[in-house]
Amino acid sequence: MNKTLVKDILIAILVLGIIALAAGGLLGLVNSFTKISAEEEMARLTDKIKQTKVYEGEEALQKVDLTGFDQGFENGSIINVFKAGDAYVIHCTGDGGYSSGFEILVNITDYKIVKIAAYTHGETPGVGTRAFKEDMLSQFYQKDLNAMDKITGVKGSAKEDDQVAMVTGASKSSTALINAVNVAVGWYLNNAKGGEQ
Amino acid sequence: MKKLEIVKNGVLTQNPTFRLVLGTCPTLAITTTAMNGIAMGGAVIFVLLCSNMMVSLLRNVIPDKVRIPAYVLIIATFVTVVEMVMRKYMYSLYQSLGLFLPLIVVNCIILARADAFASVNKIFDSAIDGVSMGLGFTLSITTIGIIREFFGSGSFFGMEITPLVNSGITMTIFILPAGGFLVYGFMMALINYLVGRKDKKNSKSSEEKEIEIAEVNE
Repeated sequence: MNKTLVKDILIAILVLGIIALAAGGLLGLVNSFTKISAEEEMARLTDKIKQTKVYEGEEALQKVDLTGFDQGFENGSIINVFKAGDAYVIHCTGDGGYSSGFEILVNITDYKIVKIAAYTHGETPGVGTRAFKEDMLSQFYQKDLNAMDKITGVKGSAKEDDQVAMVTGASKSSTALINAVNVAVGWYLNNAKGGEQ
Repeated sequence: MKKLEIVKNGVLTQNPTFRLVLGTCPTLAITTTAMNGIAMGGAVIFVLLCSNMMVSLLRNVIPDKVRIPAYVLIIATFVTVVEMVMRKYMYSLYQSLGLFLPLIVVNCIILARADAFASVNKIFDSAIDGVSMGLGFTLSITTIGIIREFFGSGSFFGMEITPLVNSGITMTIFILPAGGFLVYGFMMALINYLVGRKDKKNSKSSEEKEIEIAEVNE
């Protein structure tokens, strides 16, 4: 092989290597300043819960350790669960919306859904977001979870106790919302048992 | 090159968004609010400034054949720094910019300036170019953001303009992707018309001067 070619290749490798090393060093340094501790992460989550007014009780929320719990759900997944007395705030996702990253917070207290709020979503503003309006969300409230294992969405008006009416024109977002609520309900019924873990 | 000319180039005559049509992806995606525009612009200014300076500093060291991977490595480092800092100190903005923050790595403006300007100019000029190109980008996307937020959500930098919202004349299309294209297109047409008119005037006056000189010579 040509000697100058070998030299060129070696120089290229060396230069790229040095730049990569320096970059790694810089990133390591910045990371040591900007690392987010577990406490900060928890504070952020509880702040968000306060902002959305999902849980307004006096007792402080404690994060529930999810290891060992059944978390296998068809149409979504559990991200975090917080507990304060009988109240459970479940942070979960639901499939079926237009965007990924559809996350909600559900407060279930004593076998009843007390409050639901959007955590993050990428649904179309003004269209998909109608699924998060209080008149849609309030359909879920106070349903007796002892009497049902999941909630189904229907077009038109809901006739049965375990049904909610989907928002016309936002059926995909409504489906994602119902799926996410069902994930929360499923986790609650399987694992929380009304406050006795 | 004169320093003032570099600034003018970046902000107006070679405005990356409206004149060079670079960085279109974040321009359309994140301009639903004016604040997003400022945050994205700030991040791009920082990355442009740092990467331009670094590329200019290493311009005699980086072999020509591996210059693009080297630039991408440098740009990616600074983008990651911005991402880490925003996640720590500006979490809500970090969330609203989402995927488009790490995607600054492949933003054509940054790579284009590194390759076209910083790799052949001195460090100080490159720094000015980075800041002015970044400013041009920030001004453009913030303007688009202001228009889209005003007509789409009836607010200005997050402050709700109650009479506008109550009157029900806000149009959701402005915050949908289609509205992004519309506002971008109209803005681009306007800026190109204005810059084009100015160019015409300049070339006309220089032509007149030439004719005058020719007449005097005769």
